[in-house]
Amino acid sequence: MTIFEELQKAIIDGKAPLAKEITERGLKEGIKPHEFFPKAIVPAMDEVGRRMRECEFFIPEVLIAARAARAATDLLRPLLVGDESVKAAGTVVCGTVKGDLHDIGKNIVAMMLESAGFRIVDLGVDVPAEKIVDAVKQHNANFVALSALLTTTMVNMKGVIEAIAAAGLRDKVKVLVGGAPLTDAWAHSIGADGYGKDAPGAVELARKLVPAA
Amino acid sequence: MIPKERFLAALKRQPVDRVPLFDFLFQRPLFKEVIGRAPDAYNARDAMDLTVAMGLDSIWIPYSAPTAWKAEVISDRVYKDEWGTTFEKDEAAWPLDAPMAFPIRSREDLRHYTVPDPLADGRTNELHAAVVINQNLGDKAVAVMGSVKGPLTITWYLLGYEKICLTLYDDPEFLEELAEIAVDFALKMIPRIAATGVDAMIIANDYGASAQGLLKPAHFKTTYKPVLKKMVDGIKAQELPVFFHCCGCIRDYLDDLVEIGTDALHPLQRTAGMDLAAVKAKYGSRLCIIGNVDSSRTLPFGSPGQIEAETREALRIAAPGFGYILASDHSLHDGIPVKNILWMFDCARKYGTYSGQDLAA
Repeated sequence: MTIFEELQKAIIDGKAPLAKEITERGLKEGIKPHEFFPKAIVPAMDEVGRRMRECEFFIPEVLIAARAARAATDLLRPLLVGDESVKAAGTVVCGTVKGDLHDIGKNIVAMMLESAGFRIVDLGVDVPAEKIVDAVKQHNANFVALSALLTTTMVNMKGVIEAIAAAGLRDKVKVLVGGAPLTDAWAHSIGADGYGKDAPGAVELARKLVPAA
Repeated sequence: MIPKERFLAALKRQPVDRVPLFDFLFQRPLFKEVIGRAPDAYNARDAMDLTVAMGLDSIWIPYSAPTAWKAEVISDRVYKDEWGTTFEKDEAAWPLDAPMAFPIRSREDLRHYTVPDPLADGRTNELHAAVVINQNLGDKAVAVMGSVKGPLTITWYLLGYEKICLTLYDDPEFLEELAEIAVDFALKMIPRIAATGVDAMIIANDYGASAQGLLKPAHFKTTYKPVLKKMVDGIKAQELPVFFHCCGCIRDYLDDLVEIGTDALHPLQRTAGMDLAAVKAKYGSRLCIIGNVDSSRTLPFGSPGQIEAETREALRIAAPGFGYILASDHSLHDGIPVKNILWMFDCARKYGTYSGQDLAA
């Protein structure tokens, strides 16, 4: 088993201390920090997403895998600062919309996106549209990911999209939406760029919508 | 049949004159429009008046915080409840506020933790009030249901769901200890609630997310099924039927829920993929089924024709052979227009009568 295969297995199995140890060993052996992402961390989390879709993994297994992936990325990120060859897949501003305090879905999507190489700016819960617009400007984001659990709050997603447009940023960001009461048709009707049915779906969608470099 | 008899017969899958009606009355505009007043807090008097005015057959009345207990106010919108969980007031989800922070992060925290007293004065005030009102309703009397929270719900409030997920792998015995706290609390409270004269008991415990369960079936079996069985047995010891409320996609746990002796299952959330026909076919001879009318799409946004069609479809699938109670697939929460709620129940009364029509047609 190569060191990348070992790391993949540790992440899929949710073994954070082991993932850290393997990453440290790999670095000592001279593997470049940026190599771990495409060769181990991203494919491992893709496999976790696949297993979730197949109902082999449930949310706890996804969370322990994400924690193991983070044990590796926490070691690697400081080593990548200033490395121009490494770019985040995109910057995602995420949050639950105004009035909605339910963040479990949003947190899982954020973790999966982060493991897939996206930079996450998590604004938390009950986020007003103007705060999202400000964060897009400040972090030069190219994605906004909005979550809502309630039928009464999901309608606030439309207001966020309108605020983004009013700030002249609509062409700059792709808006992804998700949450239990949403449908693809509804997401389309409010002018979102995509609807993530679940966390792996959100990652798939974000990858598809990443603007060409 | 009077509403109470109709509801209790349906829970036992016995013959009834029409399909009974139930729901969680979780929006203040419904109170305002139907009975002319919207309560700040969910309470027996207003909920009983609304239940009777809407012609429903049953009502849920929760136990109360102790009379002597006062919430620790953190800000206008944020407070700590008696379990030490920090909640933010959530108008959109009334009367259930949203948990934001949790009192236990470790075994060390648990060592210093004091569990609330299930037998403190005042716990059953609202239940008593509902039962007394009900006794004076004569042939309009409804089935009054008390409730206890299940082990995952209590653990969720103590630890938070994300921490539960990690602890399932880091220290599963710790979760079993927390589940025992929940079951001890419930087992002390069940006889007290039963003594008020309620007609049935709800175990409220969500195990479902929107596309799958919240945890692997194996984790459910080892960590939660045994304590749920103790709760079911505690309720049955009081000779009350067990109404299990469990939102989300819970198909992986149905065999276990039936095996532990659940009498009725609510709400078969349609948008989480709960298939009414499949559940009726497999479990209809052992379980009363409650719910399944879509409360997140059809009821808030559907046309009268769509609401009628979906209500009729639920009746067509689940009412034949008895053992079905019509309700939404979650609750009558904020954002569902009142006219749509009333229309769903009108349709249920029209199409849910057993005499003179073939419900399966």
